[in-house]
Amino acid sequence: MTAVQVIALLLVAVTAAGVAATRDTTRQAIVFGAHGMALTLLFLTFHAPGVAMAEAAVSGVVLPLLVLLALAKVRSGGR
Amino acid sequence: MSARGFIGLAAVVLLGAWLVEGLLGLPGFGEDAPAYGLALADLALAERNATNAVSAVLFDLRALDTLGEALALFAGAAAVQTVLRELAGEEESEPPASTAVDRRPAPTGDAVRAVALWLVAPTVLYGAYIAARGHVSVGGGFQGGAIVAAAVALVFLAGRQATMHHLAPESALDITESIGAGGFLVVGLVALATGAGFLGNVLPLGEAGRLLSAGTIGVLSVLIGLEAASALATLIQKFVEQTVEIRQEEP
Repeated sequence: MTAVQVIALLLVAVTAAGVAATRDTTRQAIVFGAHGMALTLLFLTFHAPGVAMAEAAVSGVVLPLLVLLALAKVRSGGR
Repeated sequence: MSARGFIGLAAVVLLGAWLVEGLLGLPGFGEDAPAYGLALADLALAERNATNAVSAVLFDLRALDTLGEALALFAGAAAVQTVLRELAGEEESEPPASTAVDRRPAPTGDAVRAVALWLVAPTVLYGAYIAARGHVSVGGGFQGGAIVAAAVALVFLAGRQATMHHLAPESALDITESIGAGGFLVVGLVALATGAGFLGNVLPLGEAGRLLSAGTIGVLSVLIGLEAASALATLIQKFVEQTVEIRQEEP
């Protein structure tokens, strides 16, 4: 295992714990995006660049956006 | 200890022991390159002239599974469209009198808007490139599609919802999504008609490493890209519509 792979694994562990430890759901969506970036780095360092691309686009942009929009809808009392 | 606690503890110990046993049975890190993977890497190049073995598996050897995946995405987008439709008693919030493209002052900062807008065109181009070269280099239809959909999200993040609807209208997305998923089926049926079997690779294989090579792999990759981009863009549009644009009628 190379040093970069170790760093990527540690980053994934730290950001995953960060997602679980974040209590405010709005902040959680953003922290989740950071976790996605850590996963992207992990996939890249483990020779899966294709998966890394999909992970970056989906968990970096699309998923946090959908979560935030859903939260906004819920917070507005469903109106 | 209560009965429930005992059952819980026993389950944790048993499942934990099972997990540890399984982990100990795994090959060591980086050892024993699996024979199946090596065979596939050789086969993709020798039999299909595809330099990306992953795409050769996704769009040729196991293309039927990918068709299932595409249809699952299609069904998911259709389900979201059904659930998030405009209900009776809801109406789109009044557009302002001005017919300007932007409906409301964007709460987004100038720096974010500038960067997001600047990134839109390169992101679309990059996504199309990734989808179109799936059989040659890293990437493929799903990745390219997700990247293109991220560009749609960027337009919204730049505070330009109206522009987003204008650039990727839902009616057009319905059509491109159907072309993507339906085209995949059509390619499969054409192969069947020529006697090669459903989703068989019937196009000329060309020269490995060229854009026009590897037969149907590149074609299917582009179709999946179209399907994935349209489905994800539809999701984003629907969520934006529900959150920002639809209001309940005042009683």
